[in-house]
Amino acid sequence: MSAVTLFEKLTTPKFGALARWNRELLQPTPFSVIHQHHGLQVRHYQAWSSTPKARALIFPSLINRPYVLDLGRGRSLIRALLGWGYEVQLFDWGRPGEFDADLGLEHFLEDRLLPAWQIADAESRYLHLHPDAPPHLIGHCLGGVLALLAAGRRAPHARLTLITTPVDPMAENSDQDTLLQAWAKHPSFDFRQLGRQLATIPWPILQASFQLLRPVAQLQRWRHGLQTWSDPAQRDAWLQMEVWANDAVSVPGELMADLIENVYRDRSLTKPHPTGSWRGVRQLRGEIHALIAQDDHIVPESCASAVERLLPLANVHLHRVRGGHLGALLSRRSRSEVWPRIWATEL
Amino acid sequence: MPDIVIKIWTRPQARPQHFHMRPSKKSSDPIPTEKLDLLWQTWAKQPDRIELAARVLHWSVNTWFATLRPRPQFHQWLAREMKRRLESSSES
Repeated sequence: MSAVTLFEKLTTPKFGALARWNRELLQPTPFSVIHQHHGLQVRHYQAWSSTPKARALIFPSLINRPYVLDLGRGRSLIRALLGWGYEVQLFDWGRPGEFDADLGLEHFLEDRLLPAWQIADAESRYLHLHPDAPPHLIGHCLGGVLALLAAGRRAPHARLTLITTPVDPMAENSDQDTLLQAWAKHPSFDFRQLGRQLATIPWPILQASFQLLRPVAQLQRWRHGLQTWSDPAQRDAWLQMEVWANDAVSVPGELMADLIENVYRDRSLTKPHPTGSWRGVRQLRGEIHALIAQDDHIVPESCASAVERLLPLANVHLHRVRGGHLGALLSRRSRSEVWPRIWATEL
Repeated sequence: MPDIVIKIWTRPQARPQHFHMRPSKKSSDPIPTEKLDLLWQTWAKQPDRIELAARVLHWSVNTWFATLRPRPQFHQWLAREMKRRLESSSES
């Protein structure tokens, strides 16, 4: 067992007072696990009515835990979807171990993700009632890239929502590289070599890289937490975010190397006829919504809005929201205006 | 003898153009966020610094790998040692 895996085991409470405190703070929506394979789980959140109006299939980010989409009662996207009559299913990527070291992007799609999607389909009550209805896919950050790839193979007519997804990080209309782009495309960062040495790209390296993009932001977050400590609602919201932000996940080395090479270096989606894992993506022709954060330092606005340019057959709607990478998704304005516009109006 | 002109920069926060940045939206914010972000990003984006960071990362990973993980030779030694002990215990 590597030191990182041991640390992950020690810091992930399953029992005892800390786990109970975590549950009380995060208030997770109840779900059942309908499939489990090599750590990947498919979670099923039963619809609140016996005849669900729609079905959402969620692809969370690869490098964080999925409960950012179910963060407390007031800010939970999953709870909001259930409230609008959705049946919700979510892929939890789990915590990869040393055996996943050679898991490349193609292998991950064909042997893990697409079979799990088939099982999710088989368990969906909504699909039993409406067998021909296209699914509504929701991808968050890098999960959006996986949603695009999976939809390109399995559901070209899917209704797809990309939340702050890096579609083309090297978008030509951007003024200059962001820090993350400059780092990611520098040839000296050999992610494949790192992955081979360590089996996974450890989350401390990933988390440190993201924190180093804006070191001051960390100080500001703590200052904001101290300032709002006396207000229980704000304190809980701050604690929820801190618990989630420090509960990161390592990523299989080959998978991360493939994603960095495809997305950041080769810009596979910008090619007229993408091949390999990206085949079929440019033929997507459903409704696509992209939620874009205007002050995002991880996925800049131009990078996320490139979806409009790169998917010519799809009907793309861009929703620009003020805020950072997470603020844009969880802000009060986003919850009250943008969420209903994307997920509730066309039911 | 030419005059010596001494420029004293009294209020840098009043001249944001010298930092090539926008003035802070929150003037009451005691942490000059944008200024620090910009200074850091300008520093950290230089190719030679990225190169250095990559080297340090690879060096530290290699060192970690070499020290914390047993080498293949260790497995071979362990197998030989176990075999020797088993043989010696069966003989006794």
